[in-house]
Amino acid sequence: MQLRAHGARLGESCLLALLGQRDPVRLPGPLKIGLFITHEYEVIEVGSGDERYRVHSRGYHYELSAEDGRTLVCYDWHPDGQVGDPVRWPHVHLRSYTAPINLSHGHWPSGRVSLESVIRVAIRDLQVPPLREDWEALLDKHEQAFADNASWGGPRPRSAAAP
Amino acid sequence: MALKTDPTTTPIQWLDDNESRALFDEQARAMLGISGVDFLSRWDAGEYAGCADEPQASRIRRLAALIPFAR
Repeated sequence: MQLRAHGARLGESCLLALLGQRDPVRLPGPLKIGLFITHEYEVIEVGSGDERYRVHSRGYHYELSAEDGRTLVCYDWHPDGQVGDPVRWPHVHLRSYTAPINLSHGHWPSGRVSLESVIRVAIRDLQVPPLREDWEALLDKHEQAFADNASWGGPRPRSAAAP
Repeated sequence: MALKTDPTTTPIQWLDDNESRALFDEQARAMLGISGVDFLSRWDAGEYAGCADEPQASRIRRLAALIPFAR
């Protein structure tokens, strides 16, 4: 398992990816969930000192998969379009067969999704054991930072969610 | 957000353009048994459009998400 990313390419589109050898990285836990992540971003110079650079997201593909490699759910945002999938707004693919109607080919609007929220659902709903006891606080903290700095459509902070 | 990375706590392998293209080729061969260049040609030609929800198609979609490494 390794995170790979483009090195410094100021002002150019960069990619960060979490890759396994062939299939997604296998997470611990009884369901043997796979995790595959790509995140496109751009680093731009905005000033000087500690706030000299900003990182802007340019797209993402956050995917959870079953033990056999089949995609369960995938959160996608490719605002520049994609061959065979021209949908430009953030959406969810429900790749598993869903009865009684097959919903697997739909682009279900999702709003912008944070990576933290995908990790949270893996732990809470897919039985992936967290690596540390303070996982909720840590995810909340980083998701809050994302929400505070997002230039559009950031997630609603969990601290501001329903009581 | 300020760009701050700490190499001691950020386990990221940083790639230059040649390394990222090589990684894409490696992933194409591992996932689909074809070269990265071959995948890009087929992708651009629309050969994978409308692919079904099979494990093989999952690999196609993942490789498509890695295309920025190749371009």
